[in-house]
Amino acid sequence: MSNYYDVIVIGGGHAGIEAASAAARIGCSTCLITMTISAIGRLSCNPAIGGMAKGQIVREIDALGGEMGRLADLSGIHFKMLGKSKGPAMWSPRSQNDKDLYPFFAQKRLQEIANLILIEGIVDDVGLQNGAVSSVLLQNGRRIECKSVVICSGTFLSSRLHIGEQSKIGGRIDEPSAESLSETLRQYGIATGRLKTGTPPRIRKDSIDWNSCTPDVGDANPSPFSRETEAVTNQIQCYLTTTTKDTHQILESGFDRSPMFTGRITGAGPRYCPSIEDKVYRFSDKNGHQIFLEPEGLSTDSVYVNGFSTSLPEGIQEDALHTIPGLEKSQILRYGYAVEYDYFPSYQLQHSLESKAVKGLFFAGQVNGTSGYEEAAAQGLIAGMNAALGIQGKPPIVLDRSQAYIGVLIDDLVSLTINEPYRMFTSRAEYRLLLRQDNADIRLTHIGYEAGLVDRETDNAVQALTESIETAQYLLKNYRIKEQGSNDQAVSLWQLLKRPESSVQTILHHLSTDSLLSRLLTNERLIEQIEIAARYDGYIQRQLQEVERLKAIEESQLPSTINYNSIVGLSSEGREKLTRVSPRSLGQASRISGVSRSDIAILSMYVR
Amino acid sequence: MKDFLRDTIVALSTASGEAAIAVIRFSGIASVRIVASLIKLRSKKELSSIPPRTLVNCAVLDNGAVLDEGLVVRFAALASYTGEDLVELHIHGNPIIADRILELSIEQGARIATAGEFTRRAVLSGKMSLLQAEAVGALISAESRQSVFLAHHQLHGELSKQLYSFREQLLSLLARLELELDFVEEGYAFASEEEIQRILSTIGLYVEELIRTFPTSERLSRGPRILLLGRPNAGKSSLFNAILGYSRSLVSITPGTTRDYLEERFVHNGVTIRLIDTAGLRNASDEIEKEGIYRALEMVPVCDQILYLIDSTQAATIIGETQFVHQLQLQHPSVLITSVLTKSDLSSSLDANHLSISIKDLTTVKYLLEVLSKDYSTKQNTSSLAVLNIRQLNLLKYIHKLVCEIQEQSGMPTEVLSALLREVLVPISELVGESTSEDVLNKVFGSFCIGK
Ligand SMILES: Cc1cc2nc3c(=O)[nH]c(=O)nc-3n(C[C@H](O)[C@H](O)[C@H](O)COP(=O)(O)OP(=O)(O)OC[C@H]3O[C@@H](n4cnc5c(N)ncnc54)[C@H](O)[C@@H]3O)c2cc1C
Ligand SMILES: Nc1nc2c(ncn2[C@@H]2O[C@H](COP(=O)(O)OP(=O)(O)O)[C@@H](O)[C@H]2O)c(=O)[nH]1
Repeated sequence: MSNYYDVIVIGGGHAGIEAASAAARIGCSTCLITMTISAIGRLSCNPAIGGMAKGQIVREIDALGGEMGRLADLSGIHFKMLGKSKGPAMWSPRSQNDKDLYPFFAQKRLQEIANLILIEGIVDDVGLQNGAVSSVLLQNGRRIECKSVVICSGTFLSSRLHIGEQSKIGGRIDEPSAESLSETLRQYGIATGRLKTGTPPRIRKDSIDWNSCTPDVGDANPSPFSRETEAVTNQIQCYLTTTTKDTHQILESGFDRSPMFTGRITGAGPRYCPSIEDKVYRFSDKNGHQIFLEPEGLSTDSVYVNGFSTSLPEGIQEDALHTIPGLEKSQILRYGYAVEYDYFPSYQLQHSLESKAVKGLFFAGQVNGTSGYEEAAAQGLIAGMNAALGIQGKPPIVLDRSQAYIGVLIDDLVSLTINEPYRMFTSRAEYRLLLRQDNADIRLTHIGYEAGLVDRETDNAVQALTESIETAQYLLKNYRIKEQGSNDQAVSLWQLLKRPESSVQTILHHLSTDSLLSRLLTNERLIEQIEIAARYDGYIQRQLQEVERLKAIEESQLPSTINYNSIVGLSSEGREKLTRVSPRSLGQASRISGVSRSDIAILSMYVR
Repeated sequence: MKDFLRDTIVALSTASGEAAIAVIRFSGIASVRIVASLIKLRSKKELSSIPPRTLVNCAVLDNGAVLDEGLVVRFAALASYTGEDLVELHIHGNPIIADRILELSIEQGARIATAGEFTRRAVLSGKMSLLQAEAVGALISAESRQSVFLAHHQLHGELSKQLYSFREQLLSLLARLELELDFVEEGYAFASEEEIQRILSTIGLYVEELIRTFPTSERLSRGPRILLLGRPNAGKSSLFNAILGYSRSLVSITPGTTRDYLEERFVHNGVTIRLIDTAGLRNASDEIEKEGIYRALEMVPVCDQILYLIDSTQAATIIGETQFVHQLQLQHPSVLITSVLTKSDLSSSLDANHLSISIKDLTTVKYLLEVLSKDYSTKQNTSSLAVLNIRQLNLLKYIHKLVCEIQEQSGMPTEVLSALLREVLVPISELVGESTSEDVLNKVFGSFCIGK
């Protein structure tokens, strides 16, 4: 057994899977240390991948050469494109997954990767030499040397589980907590904080009266997340029901006993309303909230009550569920609970996800204050890539906000002050029209290729597609026809295509079948891209112009050596936040909460 | 530029030249120290021991010798105009003395302030909003009582307040649209089409009104420009001279930029009026007369009003002239054209539809002036107006364009609507100074006079 690896990844959750796979595939000898190998890839909460904004992230992970898309396709049992009632920028793929198959495929995949070793154990300590990472120490006393460490320990650091007023030690139901690691890191000057998150109850399939619920069928032609997957099929049906006034009344009676009830305590905005308590409180004028009943797999009896995340006392959970149509007689298999854990406020990180304080130490996933598998996986991928690239002496990969949701995610993490688990929303992306699930490969494949995670063939194919889209757009804009009836006014095919009722299908008859354009317009991906571009014509241009306009401020570098205390005129809050975050550009500085407009004006004079 | 804000700045804050008194202003950390080294208080106390905002006597010393006697007052940081330590030295308005004091201050470590730097510091220290700062600029260059009033209005944030409220409304609307988008599966609809339209049309109308009245408010702040037009011998020069002779408050005699006209400014009832006489049009030859008229007409677009003089002694031409005025008005709808019959002392064929004047009878000239100035002081409901500069006007036009664009399109997908509303927020935020790049700051402060 070797006692040295280039990269050690701590934790086999969704962040750890990506980090370990990326580092190993880029060419570094990698070791993934996790508490239980059979728990790798476990879906702690909802057995579902994707959804609004998260689906876009999964596509981005796939484009960069990550694992999540493939695993979700392999274990998916119900697929649906969300947001179809809005435009294509809002479309977000989502899958229901078999809660046993997802970890199964994840473990299988990791075992196949050359360069990657899985070790079972709990890491207590990270050893340093000259301010840089040099080893990790396991609870059993074993020390393993390394150059880089990626911490992906999720909700497991000094964690406590809560149901109502009861609490116990644990990182996930029936799993232990890692009690030492965060203490060690605190000794290195790394700050920690506490966060909480919750999960809904699971109920028994045959205790549900399905006839009182509305079926929620998957897509007729479900599309997979990964470009490598040929096809996926729907194997189950989900069901919909809603809470009632009675449900709300019962829940309200337990508000004062809910450790998760944040609405009243911190007034956190409605965008962050994961728990049913919060929803009932925030939208008190609503008589019902939607509840999705999602079977957790093909061979399990367990049904996940999506939309009913709660940590109220057990009795209240039960009584409240029984007021919901279809669940009157439901039997609870596992009560909803909340977990409270240590996290590392992410202003301590660079955009590469490397710690500012300790060289070679990377953080990814829920430990950075995020919530969600997709957010975790995205960070794991970037941290794993950058750990490996750093060892190879290459510059880190940093995606910007106009390039990917992942860029938005990481820039937010290192700039914002996070008081509650950060989850991605489409509204966090100012260039939402550009960052679509349908064009993730066009945006990112080449970056994945250059990092060494995507093969040349795929990269070439995506580049060829990108070029033919450009050619087709050019031709459409320049191919004019005379419309019948309209007094001989020539219009371009592009203009025709922009009309609401048009599609590529409806304009094809204007072209001779052997023209370059008609040949291009046989490729489905290309047709899709062309139709979306036509639909958003003008608006996409505007967003691109906005990116251009803000380039100057985004590229205006702030050296990390600036002493903000010496700059006269900064507000005291601005000074404190700037010192803490140490933004790399004026653009980033302007997004830090607490940094005022005049602080920015003063800074911009300073860097001139 | 690094130590930009650490410098203590100094400037002569009153107009240069001879005057009864002059005020030299210092701002920055070292201002009290610098001024203390230049003066001796009559009370023999230290300047730093005098309570802020208290005016005390002092002597200004130049190497031990008394250069001047004056008054000094200091303002403490945070409670001063700039937000920094600030000292004002009131001295006699002799340029030689002022220059010497500036020289001495520089020796003590002060730096001459750049244009608008005092106000710039006030903005940077959060003492005033950008919009208020611009109003200060307008206040200084205001040329009429109306514009002083408007500048005050804006200074006290009326416009800011309104724009801030729009900003709030848009933000709240956006927040709800975003909620609808991000929770699309849960079927919440947080913003109705009517509400969106209502907010947009409120903003659209308000902005449109600001834009529409821009020529007026701009005219108010620089004073209306009135062009005298009419056939040769109609009495233009005579009226021009009569008005200027009558008006004691002649401001200056500025020759026109072309040799073809004369422009004079005078103040009547608090309104600065610029009167333009199209000189060189007095040739009797028909050809040249026409050309003269045409050339005078080129002035029309830059004027606010035309006084078209008709010689009342030429009864045969009055009808033709009146028709000509009518045509002219159709061609230039934005300019008010008033016909005036001249030489009323010589004529009996006057009608009630025309103003009539005679230079022989000053009360008629005075009456004309009353009519003119009244036009400019009461015609507009000033509370809806704001003193705008070109930067602000362009931002407003941009807002208006975006708002109209959104209103015109129906059935726009929510995500596009949201993107457009975010775009509307950009110029609004820029107007109230909530998001402004250094460029904007430079633009605003570049046009200030030094010392403000
Ligand atoms: C109760 C609960 C409720 C949740 N609710 C939601 C929700 O409502 N919405 C949502 O989007 N997401 C929710 N999640 C979060 C989602 O599960 C996580 O965001 C995601 O799994 C985080 O991935 P990760 O890779 O960062 O960490 P995890 O998936 O937590 O994985 C961490 C891994 O690290 C291992 N580990 C930790 N410390 C050590 C150590 N010292 N040594 C060795 N191994 C270690 C653990 O064994 C584990 O395998 C919830 C999670 C829990 C537990
Ligand atoms: N009686 C009288 N003569 C006037 C009056 N206004 C102008 N005039 C005379 O009319 C002639 C032409 O006037 P002038 O001002 O030169 O006309 P312009 O060519 O339009 O500038 C001069 O001889 C003036 O003295 C007036 O109100 N009353």
